[in-house]
Order: sequence, then structure tokens, then C-alpha cells
Amino acid sequence: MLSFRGVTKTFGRVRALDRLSFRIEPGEVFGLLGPNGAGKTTSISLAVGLLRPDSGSIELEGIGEPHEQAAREALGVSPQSLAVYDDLTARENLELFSGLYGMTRRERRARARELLERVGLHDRANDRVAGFSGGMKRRLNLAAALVHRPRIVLLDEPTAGVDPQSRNALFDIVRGLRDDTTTVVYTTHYMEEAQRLCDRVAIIDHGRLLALDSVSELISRFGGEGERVAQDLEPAMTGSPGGGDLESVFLELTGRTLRD
Amino acid sequence: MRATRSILLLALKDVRLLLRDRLGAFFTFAFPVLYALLFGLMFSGTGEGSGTVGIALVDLDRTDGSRAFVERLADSEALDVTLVADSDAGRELVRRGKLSALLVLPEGFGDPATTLVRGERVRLEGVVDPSRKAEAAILKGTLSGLVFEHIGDSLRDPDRARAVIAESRAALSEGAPPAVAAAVDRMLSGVEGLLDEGEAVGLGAADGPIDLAIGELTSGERTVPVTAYALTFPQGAAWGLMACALGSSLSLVGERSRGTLVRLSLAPIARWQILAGKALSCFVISLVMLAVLVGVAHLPVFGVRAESYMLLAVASVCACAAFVGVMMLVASFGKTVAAVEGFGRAVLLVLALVGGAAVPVVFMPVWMRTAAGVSPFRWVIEAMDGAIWRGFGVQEMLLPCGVLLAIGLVGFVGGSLMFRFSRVMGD
Ligand SMILES: Nc1ncnc2c1ncn2[C@@H]1O[C@H](COP(=O)(O)OP(=O)(O)O)[C@@H](O)[C@H]1O
Ligand SMILES: [Mg+2]
Repeated sequence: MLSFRGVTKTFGRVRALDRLSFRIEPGEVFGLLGPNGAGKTTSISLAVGLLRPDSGSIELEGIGEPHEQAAREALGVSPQSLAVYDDLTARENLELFSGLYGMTRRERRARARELLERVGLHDRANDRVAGFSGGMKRRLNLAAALVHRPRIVLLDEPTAGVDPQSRNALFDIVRGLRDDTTTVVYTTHYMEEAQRLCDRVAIIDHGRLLALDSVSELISRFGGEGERVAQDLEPAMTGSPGGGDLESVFLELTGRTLRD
Repeated sequence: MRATRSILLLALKDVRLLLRDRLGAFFTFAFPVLYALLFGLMFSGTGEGSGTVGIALVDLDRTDGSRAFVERLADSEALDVTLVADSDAGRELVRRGKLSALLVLPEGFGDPATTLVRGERVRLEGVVDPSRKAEAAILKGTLSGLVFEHIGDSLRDPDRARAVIAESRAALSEGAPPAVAAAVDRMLSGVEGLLDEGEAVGLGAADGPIDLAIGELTSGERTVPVTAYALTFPQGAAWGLMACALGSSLSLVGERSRGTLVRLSLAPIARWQILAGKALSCFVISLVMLAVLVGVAHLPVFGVRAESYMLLAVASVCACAAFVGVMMLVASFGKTVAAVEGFGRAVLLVLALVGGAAVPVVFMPVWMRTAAGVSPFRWVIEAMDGAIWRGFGVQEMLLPCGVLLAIGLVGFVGGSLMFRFSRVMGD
């Protein structure tokens, strides 16, 4: 569905992506995991055509390259930084964005109502976003990515700064997308989320691919070493006490140097 | 079709956002009116004495001629004359801010009528409070008006006219060969012609709209009464346009830094459509602002009437178009909202001042008047002035409106090319 082939991208002297390659299968929920600055957002920006790679190529199978017009209809993005209008209501936001995809007024109404229902904001449809909590804004940000029923949805850290209830609701939405056979690219640095949601996971750091497999494969391959690491950590941080989880794999692969 | 609809949707969104931002809406629509009101009150000669220019007057000549002129000045409604014994006393009053100017009729001032007929200039000396340049300009206009009035009256009085003519004949016969005397009649009739047109020529052409600032004199062709507000409403319009343009620039740059611009540029619409949406909302908001301003100017308290509403509409459209270009250029100035706001405000403020949005261009030194040509504000004011009180014809409107449209086009295209869309999705 979406392939990165040897993609390199530099910003000045920073090499954000370094010969990154992976292929995302249709209909899967693909986790892109990495610490801060690993290159997750850069990957998403390249995948949606906002950036062009310095070398290597990106292909949306059956569609073309990301910057081409055809890709616009196929891609839905929920940016890491909230991209909704604070002084519009939730409904107005969704109706505006769906209007840009050529829907009629009636279609826009219906689509906005349906999506607000889906992200649990129907009772706040006519309230201004400015008054929303972080979690509500995140859910609206996600709904805005879905207005045109894209085949590939890219979610860049969709759970940043949300409460457990909203996070749970977001998980349900992602599972719903998978049931609709929508392809989902999900970036996060919360291992527990990836473990719960993703069919396959790519772990990247410094723009390089470190590992790519299903969660269970990764744990069985790298988990042994990780157990020792995990024991040093607070149980709460690793998600499950006693190791053998994705967090250990992650720390094993990316090291324990502090990032930001 | 779809492109047009997207542009409309985006523009509608901006209008909606502005209306929801109460403070923003206030500044957009009320500020220009307040500006026009405030400056109108300052320039106005119709308020109870408050609009008159207070001057100290010294008559060093003390002849019948000068005394008659002093009397005329004292009778003028535009001036509040305080007679003082000498220049120093008057200078002190000006220095302390009690009066705006000191006027000295020097020795040999004589009778202005004779002076003018002799082909010399009527000489007055003055000291002006530098903080009251505008009043000084009004004063200058008023004075030339009064000089002409004085001469006109003098020559309408047959005895005085005869005396003047006799004196000028005498002056001529002293040095000039007799053949020249034949020319005297022609010259005098020329002078008479000048006197008939006195007000129009002296004030309309030589000193621009100075007569209008005091709201008393009207030229022959003018059909609407002109008040100080007729001058200040175009200025208010210029400031209003600046606010609209800056507001739209900041809204565009703000969308980039808040991330909504990314969402828009990921939709299946071209980038020029996104910018066109912003341009359209800027244009519409500006036009509504101008309409509100013109509407308020019509209220009885202001009593501004336009010579031509058709041309006023044309001028308004061109002015809004120009400021759409300004908006786009300003938006391309910097990366952050703060940078664009700081830089944009500074540049626009200078252009506004140079372009006569505070002190009318006619009051400026010549070099500055020339420099004003680079300012879109100058052309906005010229076009609005032209339609409201200068009585411009279509022909005269072509230059300011053409310049405005060119600014709009060049600004929009240039600004669009320079404007950097966000290429990464924040962090
Ligand atoms: N526009 C940019 N200019 C310069 N450096 C950038 C830019 N965007 C990202 N980077 C750098 O590229 C690296 C990867 O960033 P990013 O993709 O945002 O990481 P992540 O999303 O995984 O936290 C970081 O070192 C970051 O500082
Ligand atoms: Mg990121």
C-alpha cells in the first residue's frame, strides 16, 4: 500500500531519515515507533507529500507518488500538532474540511454528524473547539482526517496529552478503521499503545530502521535481553511487570540515553 | 467550479472567524471611524471656536493698509487673533502652547492689494509651533484666502481700486519705457481675472485642499459641502485597510504556525486556491469596512457627501484590491506571527505616514510628496479624496486606481510566490 525505499531526508546538517525502507500492507495497522527526534513526523510528512525525499522513493501503490494530486483523496492525516480551528465549532470544522473534498452541503452535514458520533463529540457539535479539552481536540483532529473516507490514514502521535478515557476512545476509533479495511499508520512512543493496536511495528531511531515485525515476533526475538532492562524500571512504566514486552524491546534497540 | 467553491468556503471561514473575534471585529470596523472622528474634530473649523487657529499678531508696519488687513484677520472665523506688542511676546505665547502661531506683518507690509499688483509677493513672517504643523498648513491656506479676499474687496471699492491702479501706474512709469504702459491695462485686467477667481486659484490650485480643512470655502465646481471629515474619512479608510490587511496576513501566518494550513494544503485543492481564499476574505472584509465607514460618514454629525458614488465604489474596490496585495506581501515577510506582526506593522506604519494617512500629503515638503508615490496609502487617499470631494472625473481617477490595481496584482503574485507553505507538520 505504502512503500519507503531507501528514503533519506536531511535538514541542514541533521539527517532526519537515513535510507529508510519499509512496506505497509493494505488494511494493516502499522506502528512507527521511535523516541523523540527519531524521524516519525518527518516520515509522515514525506508520506503525504509535504516533503520530498533527498534520495530514495516513496510510492502509494496504485496511486502514485505522495505529492501527486491523486494522493490527496487517498490520504487522511491527523497531524501531531492539532490542526483544527479553535474559533469554529466542531461541526463547522468538519463541514469546512469535507467541503474542500468537493462534498455537497447535504453530504457535509451528514458526514460531520456521523464522524462526531464516531469520536464521541456529537453532544458538543455546536460548541467552539476553544473550550474543548485536550482529548476532545485530539478526537476532532482525528475525525478531520477521516472526512473524505481515505484509504490510508496517518496518525502522528494521536494520543499526545490526552486522558485515559479519550485515549481509550481513540483506540476504539483505530480498531474501527481496521475493521473498515482502512490502512493505518500510527506513530507513537508509547509502547503499550503499539502493543495493543498494531499488527506490525517498525522501530526507528536517528532516521534508521532498527527492527520491523509483528509485536509478538519482536518480543520473542529481542525480549530476552530486554527483560533485564525492564527489571530496572518502574513496573508502571513498562506496562506489564516482569518484562517480556515491547517497552523492553524498544529500550534494548534504541538505548537508554535521554532524548529531549 | 469546485475550485471556486473551495475558495468561497475558505473565505467564509475567515469572515466567520473575524466576527467571532469581538476585539478583532471592533478594531476592523470601529477603529477607522474613530480615527476619522478624532482627526476630523482636530481639523474641524466648525466647532465652537475650538477648531479655529489661535494666532498672535504683530503689526510692525502700522500703516492704513496693514491695519485694514489686521482687521480682516481679526474678523475671520477661522482665526482667533491675539494682538501683541512685539514678536517676543507672541513667540512666548507660542512657545508655551497657548497659541499655534505668531504672525508678523513686517515693516513695509503696506496694502496687500498694492503689493500684489506691483507684482511682488505679500510677505508675512511667522513662527509656528512645530507640533502643530497641520494647523500651520490650515493657517497658510486661510491667510492666502484672506489676502485674496482683501484684495478683491479693495478693488471692488472703486476709490481703492483707482488708488491701487494709480499707484501701480506710478510704479511702472518710474522705470519702464512708455510703451510698456500699454501693457498695464492688460496686466490689470489679468489681475482682475485673477481676483474673480481668487478663491479658487489661490486655494484650490496653489495650496491644495487647505481651504477645505477649515470647511468654509468651496470652489466653483464643487456641488457638495466639504467638511474636515471629508478629509479625514479617506484617512480613516486608509488605516482601516491597513488593519484589514495586517489582520489577514496574521491570520494566514497564524494558520501556518497553528497547523491548519497543513490540513488545507493536504486537501485536494491547489495552493493558489488557499491563498485566493485568504485574499477573498481580506477583500470582502475590507470592502465591508469601507462601506461601514462611508455609511457612518453620511450621518448628519459628519455630513460627508461624495461627489460621485460611482467613482467612490470604483475607488473602494481598487483600494481593497491593493491591500490584498499588501496583505500577501506582508504575510511573506517572516516565519512567525510575531515576526510578521512586528515587521509588517512597522513597514505599514511608515508607508501610512509617508502616504499621508496622518498628515495629508499636501502639507508635506516637496521631496516627501514625491516619495509618497511608493506608498499604497497615498493612492488610496487620492482615489477616495478624488471621489469624495475633489470631484475627479473618470480620467483623473485612472492614475490612482490603476496604481492601486497594479499594487494589488504585483503584491498578490509576488507575495504568493514568496510565501512559504509549511512543509512539516509542526512538532
Ligand atoms: N523542519 C525541520 N528543520 C530542521 N530540523 C528538523 C525539521 N524537522 C525535523 N527536524 C529534525 O529531524 C529529526 C527528526 O524529527 P522528527 O521527524 O520530528 O522526529 P519525531 O517526530 O520522531 O520526534 C530531529 O532531529 C529534528 O530536530
Ligand atoms: Mg513527531
